[in-house]
Amino acid sequence: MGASSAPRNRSEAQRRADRVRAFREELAAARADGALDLSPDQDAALAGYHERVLGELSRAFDVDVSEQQKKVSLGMQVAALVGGFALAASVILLFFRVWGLIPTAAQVALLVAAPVAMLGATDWSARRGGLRFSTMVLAAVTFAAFVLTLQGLGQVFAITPTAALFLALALFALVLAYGYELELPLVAGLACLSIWLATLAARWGGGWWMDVTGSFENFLFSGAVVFALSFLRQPRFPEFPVAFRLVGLGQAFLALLVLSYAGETSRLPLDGDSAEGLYQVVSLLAAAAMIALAIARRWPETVYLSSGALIVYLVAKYFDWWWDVMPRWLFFLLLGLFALALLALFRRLRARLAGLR
Amino acid sequence: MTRRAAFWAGLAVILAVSGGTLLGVLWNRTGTPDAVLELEERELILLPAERENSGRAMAFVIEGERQWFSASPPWLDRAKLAALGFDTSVDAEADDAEQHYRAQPRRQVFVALELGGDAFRKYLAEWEERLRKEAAGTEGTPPTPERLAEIEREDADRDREALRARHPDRSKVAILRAVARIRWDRPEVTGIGKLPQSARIDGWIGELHPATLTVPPRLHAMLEALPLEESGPVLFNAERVALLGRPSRYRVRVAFGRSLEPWIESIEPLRNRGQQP
Repeated sequence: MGASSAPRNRSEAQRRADRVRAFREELAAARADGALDLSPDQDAALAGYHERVLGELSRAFDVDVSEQQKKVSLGMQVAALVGGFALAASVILLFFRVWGLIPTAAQVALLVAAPVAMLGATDWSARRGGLRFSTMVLAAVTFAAFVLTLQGLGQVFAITPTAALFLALALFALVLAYGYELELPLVAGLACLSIWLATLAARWGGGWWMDVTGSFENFLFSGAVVFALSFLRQPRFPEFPVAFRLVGLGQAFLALLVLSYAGETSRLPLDGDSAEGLYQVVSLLAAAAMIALAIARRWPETVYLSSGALIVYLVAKYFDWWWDVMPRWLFFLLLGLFALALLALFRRLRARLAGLR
Repeated sequence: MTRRAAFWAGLAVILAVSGGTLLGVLWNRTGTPDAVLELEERELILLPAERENSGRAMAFVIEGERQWFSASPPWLDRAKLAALGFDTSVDAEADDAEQHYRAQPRRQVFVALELGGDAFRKYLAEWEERLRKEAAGTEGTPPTPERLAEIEREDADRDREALRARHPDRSKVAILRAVARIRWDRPEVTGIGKLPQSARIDGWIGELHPATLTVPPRLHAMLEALPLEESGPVLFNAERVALLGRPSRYRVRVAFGRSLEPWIESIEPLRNRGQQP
């Protein structure tokens, strides 16, 4: 592989492998149709070159070089996710099983040493190469061990919790995510960052930081900030902005839904009913605007999320307005017709999305 | 970020956060504590042991309740709520009163907890009188008292120094962080011919931090030696004689540090296993 075409990270390597595979398939189809005829030498040279490229990519970045491998990888990803959560839970439960049997100094040493040891294991796994899923599992356990450090020290010494705890967790998760190119810690980091931002909004509103769910406008703020961060240029991590958009918009859409039903929790100088009415309009407009933006910016995952949010908002309002006043048969008939209208709308959307790929 | 940089950055985060936390613990526990209280089982109950958790913890019992107080203290009036930072300027009967008061978020405040305060002594005297009447046959069996302990919420402030200045006895009054909220309420009219009641504003203080204390492992053996009891202590007189229920099994010395984070210094058994109450 030439230095100019050498990928810098796994995402680029996977895209290169996908291109090679697509090229080989298309080449085989063109040859079968008689559109192209390569000499045996050319054919062997090209095949050898591609084998070499795929071999190097597989060794260096553990990429999937065939469709079957991709399917198995998906299964491995699910297994890694389950394994990561299970092992993380095991570490936490083991500590609480034994902590009463050891002196306080040993408790502290164990709490600090656990994430350090797990970080070392994650680093070793990442350096060894070819252990992508093991690295993902180890990173999840490392993050859980750090959560345990903060929670355990707080419990041993009755420490007053502060919002900075979530900032520390976010920072640690983002180090794992960017250092080892892992999506799972990235999502955990963005979730912690969102909670910290929401606590800031709660404090600006004059309240107690832990009262973040007192008003879901706190999560409108955090969601907007995380979404805005997705516009930061991250050329080495082309897949990461997707997580920023999904985490940011996901919480913002959820916050809009809650506020459109619990207007009395809003900090706007409006009575509960007016706040609910306002947020109902805002939620519909926001979802529609995000679909338009996502199509324009070629963000398929954001189109799906925003479309899902728009459907939930519309169905919820339809139910609220008509369930009590309509005969049931008419309610479901109109709901069915509404679904057919949505299908027509999404068919057009799908056609436009085809252009995004 | 390279993998090597990620390892060192991750290590730096772990050590900085853990180190900072432990320095905070050290600062809290060195120097003169903010208060040192001797509490008995009725004020600091031992939580049941759990199969999956070898640690032991004790929970504060204040005015007979643990964390969520059902009643507001009598001193938490409109003036005190205003002093705690709530906006009480809107009349309770005003059109926008409900929206005004419900929109106000909860606030973190400092609460003074007094051991053996006036309110408890008055309450105790009333109960002793009721029990005397019961013994003399002039009154039936009184219901079980709701309040178990003599520690109570005495005062609150946004400024802990001002609160301490008003309650200088560091062996009787501890200060903890708590959460306060303001409430607007119009009692519902029940029954024909009843007049609508006027709206009222009151407050609530609870969610003390911390609500529980971890027992240091070096003191676990002492807890194991305590007599087994199915029910907790109920009510005592000023001489620590049980009026209802049984006497406490232990006395705990709790220090409240400079950051108001308490810890258990010692536990003294008042009875051992095999001894009768």
